[in-house]
Order: sequence, then C-alpha cells, then structure tokens
Amino acid sequence: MVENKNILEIDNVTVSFDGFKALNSLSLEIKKSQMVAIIGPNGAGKTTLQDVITGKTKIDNGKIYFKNNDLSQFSEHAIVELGIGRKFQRPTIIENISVWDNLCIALNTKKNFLSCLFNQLKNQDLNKLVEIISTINLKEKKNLIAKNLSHGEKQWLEIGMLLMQQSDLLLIDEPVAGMTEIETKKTSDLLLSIAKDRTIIVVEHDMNFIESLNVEIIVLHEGSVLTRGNMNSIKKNKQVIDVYLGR
Amino acid sequence: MNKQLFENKKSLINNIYLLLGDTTGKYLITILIISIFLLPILHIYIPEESFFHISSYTISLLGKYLCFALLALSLDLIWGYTGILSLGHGAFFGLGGYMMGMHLMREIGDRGVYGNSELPDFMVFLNWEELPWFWYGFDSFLFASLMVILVPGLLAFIFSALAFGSRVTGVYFSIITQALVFTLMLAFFQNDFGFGGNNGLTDFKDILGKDISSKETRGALYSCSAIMLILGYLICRIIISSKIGNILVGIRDRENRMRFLGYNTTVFKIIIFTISAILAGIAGALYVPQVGIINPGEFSPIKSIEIVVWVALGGRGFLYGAIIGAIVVNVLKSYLTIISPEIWIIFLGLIFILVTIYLPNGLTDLRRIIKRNYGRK
Ligand SMILES: Nc1ncnc2c1ncn2[C@@H]1O[C@H](COP(=O)(O)OP(=O)(O)O)[C@@H](O)[C@H]1O
Ligand SMILES: [Mg+2]
Repeated sequence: MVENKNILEIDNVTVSFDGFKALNSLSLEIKKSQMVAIIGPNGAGKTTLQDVITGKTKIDNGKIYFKNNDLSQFSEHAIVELGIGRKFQRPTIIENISVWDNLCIALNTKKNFLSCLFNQLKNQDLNKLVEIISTINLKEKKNLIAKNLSHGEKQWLEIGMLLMQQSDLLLIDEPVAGMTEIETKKTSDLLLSIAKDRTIIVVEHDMNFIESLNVEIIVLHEGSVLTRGNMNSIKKNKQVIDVYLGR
Repeated sequence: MNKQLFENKKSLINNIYLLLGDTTGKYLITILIISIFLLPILHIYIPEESFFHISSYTISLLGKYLCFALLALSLDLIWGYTGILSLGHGAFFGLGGYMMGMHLMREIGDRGVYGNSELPDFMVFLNWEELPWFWYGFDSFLFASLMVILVPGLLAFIFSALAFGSRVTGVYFSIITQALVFTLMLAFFQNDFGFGGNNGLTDFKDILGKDISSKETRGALYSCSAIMLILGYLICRIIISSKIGNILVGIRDRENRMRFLGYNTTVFKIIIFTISAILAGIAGALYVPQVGIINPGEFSPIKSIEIVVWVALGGRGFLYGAIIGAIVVNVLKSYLTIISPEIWIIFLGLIFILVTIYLPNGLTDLRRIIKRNYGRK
C-alpha cells in the first residue's frame, strides 16, 4: 500500500437541506501535521463541513476518508476514537464541573461504563493532565467550577480537552470570536504551540488572527472550495476579494 | 512541577468516608444505621404502655417512607444527575411490588377464602382452571426476588434502548414515560390480565414462613427497608463519585460535547435508567409486604408525578435531598389526608409551584438561605 500523506480526503461531498446545497461537490485534501485556516462568508458551509467530518450531519453524496477510513461507516463517538477532535464555535465545556474534571473526562482512556466506574488516574495520565493544564494557562484555576471562567478561558479549556483526547486532527470553529485582543494573541500562541505534531483546521473570520498564524488558507464559497494558498496570494485573488474580502 | 497539588490517591478509609458524601449525607446514613437496630427493638421488646414503644402501625409506616425514599433516590439518579425526567417511575416500583405480591399470594396456599391450594382466590373467582404460565416459579421466594430485579430492569432496558436509541429526549421522553405507566395501569386493571384486576393482590398471610403481621416480621421488614436504602444510597454514591458522575452531568448539560469527547452517551443513559428502575423495583418489593396490598393504583400517572415532587422538594442532584424530600412529603401526606384527602392534591401542587419558584434546589436551598442570614461569617 502506498503511504498516504493526506490525513483527510474529502471527495465530491454534497449536503442539502431542503434542496439547498450547504456543501456543493466539495473536494479537499489536508496533509498530515499541518495547520490550515478556512475562511469564507457567512453561510459558505464552514460549520456544515465540520458537521459532516465529525459525523453530526450525514452526507448525501461523496466520500470522506480519514487516515484511509471511510467515515460514513463510523458513528460520532467512533469517529472521535479514530482521532478527530472538535472545538465548537461557542465554548462547549461542561459548566457545572471543575476545570480539572473537564480535562479528566476528556482523557483518552477507555470510555465504556465499567472502565469509567472503576477508573483510577495513572501516573502518566496525571503527568499529561498537569502538562496540558499548564499549556492552556489554567493551572491556578484547576478547582474552579468551569462556568466561572471568562469567555477566553472557556475556549482554552475546550482546546485543552481536545488535547487530552490526543486527536490527530483538531477542528476548531471560530476560536477568537468575542475575545479581547490579549486573549486573541494568547490563543494564536496556544494554537502554534500545539500545532507541532498534529493536524489543525481553524475556521475564523478574524483576518489579523489568521495572518498571525501564518498558515495555508482555504477559501470556501457557496459550499465548495474557491481557492487555497498563502495569505499574500489570497489577498490578491480577484474572486476572493469579490466574494469575501471586498465586502 | 508541584505534583502534590495534583495528587489524587487516597487511603481506603478516606475513600469510604468520601463515599458517604457531605455532612448531611453522613448524618442521614448514621441515623438510618442506628434505626436498623433501634426501631425493631422498641417495637418488639418495649411494652405497649411505655412511652418508647413503637406500634406496628408506626413501624410499617416508617418502613413505607423508607421505600418511598429509595424510590425517590432512584429518580434522582436519572433526573437530578443525568437530567432525564421520568414521569413514569411508578411503573418500575409497581412491577417490583407485583412480583413480590405474586410470591406472597402463592404463600397463602390453601388458606384463601376458597381453600384452593392450586389457585389464588381471584382466579378461582374467575373460574380459571389452572395457573397461568407467568405465575410459574413464584412459589419460590428466590425466584420472585430475581424477578423483582429482572422484570423492571428488563422493561427499563428495552424501553430506554428504544427511546434513547432513536434520540428521544427532553419533554418527549417524559411524555412517553407517562404513557408507559398509564398503559400498565390499564392493563393491570383488566381481570383477564391475570394479576387480580382492580383489587390487585392482597390478604397475604406469610413471608418466608413467618406471619406477615407479627411484630418480628414487621421489625425485620423495617430493617430490610433501611438496609436497602443505605445500599441504594451507596450504589448511587459509588456511581456519582466515580468519573461517571461527571460524565452524567456532562450528558445533562451538554450531551453533544460528550459525544464529541468519544462517549457513547446513549449507552450510559440506558445503563443509568436501568439501574434506576431496578432500585425502584426493589423499593416496590419491600413496600408491598409492609402495606399488605398491591393494586393498579400504583401505576396511576399522578403517583409517578408525586415522586417528582418529592425529589424537587428535597433538592435534586444531592441524593440525600431525594431521601429527605420523600420522607417530608409523605409525613405531610399522612397527616393531611386524615384531615381531608381533597386538600392533599391541592397542597401537592402548591408545594411543587412554590419550590420551583423559590427553592430551585429544594430544601437544600433553605439551608443555604439560613446559613447566609444567620450563620457565622
Ligand atoms: N440544519 C440545517 N438546516 C437547514 N439549513 C442549514 C442547516 N445547517 C446549515 N444550513 C444552511 O447551510 C448553509 C451553510 O451554513 P454553515 O455551514 O453554518 O455556514 P458558515 O458556518 O460558513 O457560516 C447556510 O445557508 C445555512 O442556513
Ligand atoms: Mg459557522
């Protein structure tokens, strides 16, 4: 078998809602261990794209392969086990338990009922928890009930939860929306620091933020890929200016 | 790195202590443990003239309250922690009760009105020739006890697998649980259904060969109820204080997030619902010998809603709150229904409305309010 460099291959995928094509024959390849940014106007299909990758929305047509697995054969939680982690647009952490407990439930141990019932943290798990809670700068707030975190901190906690899972592919939807400038800066540092050994797809509107990441950009429009390239080429692209940047 | 800060290993004794929950829970369990011995002694050995004597009426009444407390506990596990409101928990309580009732009917033997050693009275009355197949085995206490667990458990498993499997949630789930209990009520009211119709099962004589109304039996039944309540509490605590507790809160607050963390939330919900139903069934089985009857009234939708009021009043999501709520409401009920049965249902509605508005965490809120206003800083 040929070694496949693409971790994710989306082949001619279509999704319609009541006849409206939210994704229209979309094809896209993402290489292993790189970070890419997806931009596009509202309604371009960015969230829907993540919905189909994570199995939340079923596709009408086409195929999605992750590490050569046909994702249509997997349910949501099985897709997670394959190694795809998702960060929702709004912070979706478990508000009524502590920061620490949020990270614990995200730990990539066995997730069936009995193993959870008799679960004891192993030393290596503990090390990982400590490492990640430091990475996301929440060590001091370890025992805080998560609903008391600031908006930015909640977003980082959720990113921390994805890191606990040790996913190979992270989907991150609009992480800096509603963040202060300082929080935005911290977030781009955080993403860059975790990008070394995993694939990350960031969806974002904030062009300054994307520029600070300095990664390849994929432009989505009306449910398919308009173009992809680095920041400079995207900024000069006539079509992109017309549908997105120029507005 | 300051590892100690994150150390979570604790000694066994420490673990058991933690398992009992916070202070209120510990007090409650201590009182229950003492009562296992104390109440039967006061009932059996203290002469009736004495102030300290506990009458057979009182001890059975208290035993009944503990059965309700176990039932409330089972609802709290699924509602308080997992956020799934069952308006049909009476179904499992009633089925557990019927399973025990069937055994007690078989123990009557030929001492019924018709003196028929093969058939219970109501079957003779209906001119039935032989025992229906689903009554086989109930001569044995062990078999009946097994059925007390299996029947409610299996029904809950199948019912919740169908509902949660097709992602029925929230108020829709609550409605179909009402439908379930209502269906059971209609079925058990039928004479042909084989469970005594609207009279239900009653006139029990013995349990395990002992006279069911003797002092010793009543004392023992009380003790069993207290022991089962403590065991039920511990089982719930083991679940809640393990990682599962956090997972259940996660399912309650954000089920989607839990799915994307890789948890098969459907399976977790089915298992918790089934455990909850089994606890409810056990509560029903202990209830029947103490009140001496089980009839389709236990399946009436209003009874299932009452359970929700107990838990709401006690405060959901605390376990001991459910126990306290069940006992408080039922003590009130015992007094108020003596004054007037009509007042009771109005009062019940009133409790529910007031608690929902002013005490969203039930009586546990009351404690917090008192502490805030009068407690030391
Ligand atoms: N569940 C749904 N039902 C109907 N229409 C939907 C649904 N989800 C998304 N859409 C539509 O699909 C289009 C793409 O939406 P979305 O993927 O959320 O865009 P983006 O995230 O790029 O703003 C929008 O026009 C939206 O209205
Ligand atoms: Mg979107």
